Amino acid sequence: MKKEEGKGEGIFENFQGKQFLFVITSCFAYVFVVNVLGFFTATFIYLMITLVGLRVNKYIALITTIGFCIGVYFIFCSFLKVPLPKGFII
Amino acid sequence: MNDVVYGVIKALSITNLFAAFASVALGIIIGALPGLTAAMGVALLIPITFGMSPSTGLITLAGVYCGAIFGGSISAILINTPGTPAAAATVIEGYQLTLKGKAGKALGTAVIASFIGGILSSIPLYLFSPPLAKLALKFGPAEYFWLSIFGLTIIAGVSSKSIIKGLISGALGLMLSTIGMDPMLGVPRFTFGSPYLISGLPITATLIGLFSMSQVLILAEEKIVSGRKFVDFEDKVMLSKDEIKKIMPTCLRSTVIGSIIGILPGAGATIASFIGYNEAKRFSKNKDEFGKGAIEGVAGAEAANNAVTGGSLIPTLTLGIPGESVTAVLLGGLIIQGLQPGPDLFTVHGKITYTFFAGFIVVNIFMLILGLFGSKIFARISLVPDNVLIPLIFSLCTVGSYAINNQLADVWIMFAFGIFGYFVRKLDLNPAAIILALILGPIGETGLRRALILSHGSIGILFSSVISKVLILLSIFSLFSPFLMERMQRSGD
Repeated sequence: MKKEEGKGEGIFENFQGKQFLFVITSCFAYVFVVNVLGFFTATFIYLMITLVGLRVNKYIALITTIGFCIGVYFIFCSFLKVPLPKGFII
Repeated sequence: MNDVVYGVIKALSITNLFAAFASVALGIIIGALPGLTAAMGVALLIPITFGMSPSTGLITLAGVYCGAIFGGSISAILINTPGTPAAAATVIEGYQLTLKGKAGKALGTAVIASFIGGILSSIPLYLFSPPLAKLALKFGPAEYFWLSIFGLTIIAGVSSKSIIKGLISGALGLMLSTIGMDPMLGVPRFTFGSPYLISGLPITATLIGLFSMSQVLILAEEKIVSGRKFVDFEDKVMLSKDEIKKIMPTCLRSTVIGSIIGILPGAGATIASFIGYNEAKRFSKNKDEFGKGAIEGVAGAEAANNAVTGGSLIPTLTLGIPGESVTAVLLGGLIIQGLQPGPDLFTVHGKITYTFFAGFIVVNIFMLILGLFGSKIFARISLVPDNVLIPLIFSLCTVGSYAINNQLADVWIMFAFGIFGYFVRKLDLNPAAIILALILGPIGETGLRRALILSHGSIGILFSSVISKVLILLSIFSLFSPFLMERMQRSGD
């Protein structure tokens, strides 16, 4: 792994492989389910998993997630009336 | 003239005032957060402005733009990291002041200089935009073809680190711009039979992917630093009269420098702030203060980078050639609203444009107020760690790319361009050049083909008019300008 990093002339210096893969996989899964579960359900699950996975304190993660969902609801749904992906749930 | 007055009144309506206030606050936060740039903030906000009236939407985008350019200085001064690349020159003196316990002074200087630079740059915006736009009336298909070539050489030549990489980025963008319906014959090209691509790549989703999601991936690959700290400060942010007098000449000089650099398409806020800083040093009476915390140094850099905002809007609105990455993104927002850059903006859509101009001034006033009284709060927000930002921004990318067309396909396009943009950045290519080529490609292609139809296939038409010749010369000049710039920088040292 270390030899590989040296080859790219420092392009991938300090590359956090596991963390990067985790983020990109969770993002992919999120887009995949957002239209099935609905925006808010999918976002809640995605944010909780990603935040906790990136070692954010569980309570802070929960507060951030709920705050974010409420914020998006007010700005997009009630204020600007921009549609969000809908699914089986919400 | 009526439109100008109408614009001022309209810009002072409650909706527009609120939009200006909220967007400046958001812009300052985006600017102050070290991982986030002005271009990614503007890209994320385009879908939100889609639901607003055109003038309110444009004011919102301008607010984020101006706020973010100023906001970068907060983290530059307090945590020794430029929040945006444009604040890199502010770090030099700003952090020295902080170490001396004068962080408040440094912030105050940054706010006041940014305000002066920003608000005075609206003068060239008002004065030069209408005549330049009128010039565009004389453009025929051949001229539009050369204009798009000129735009491409500018961003490929000047604002990229290497000309070759700039040109590669431009070529990539041109290739992407051929996706969709052929503009003359209506034959679908490179759509792979998919109905989603018939009208070309959705511009917003592409922008969000290239500028915002790629940033998420860049943040995700780096080791997450938690518990960043800023130096707490006790001194006042407000400057005394003497200090304002001291920085005034520097501010005015940097404003002129910044506005000119902004108008010249290609060179952006980062270059302007360094030149502004160097000139402040050269003209200063107390040169030995520099490097140890000179407020003139902060003022020189900050006035220059905020003066770029007004200047760079001029070529963007009149000719459709954005000077830097943020205005390239902003151009996308303009097109989404159904506004084409050019003379129409000052005649048919004059009311919208002048409301936007007046809003630009309002935005700068709010920036001053928020900066003077809220710097401490913004500094605290800028400590939000990257691991919280990563999923939140990606979620916003998803909402944003979905919202314009209500299609999940757009979200996947955003996702694909996020990964593409990540490699683009990694390989030091220029995402702004790609976006510009994507926007200018169809203009150039239609121009060339229309011109050739008019002349029955003779290429002489491309070289016949004076405007064409000037544009060709300018394109050649801009391709070689990096060499000139390098020489200028060397002689400056």
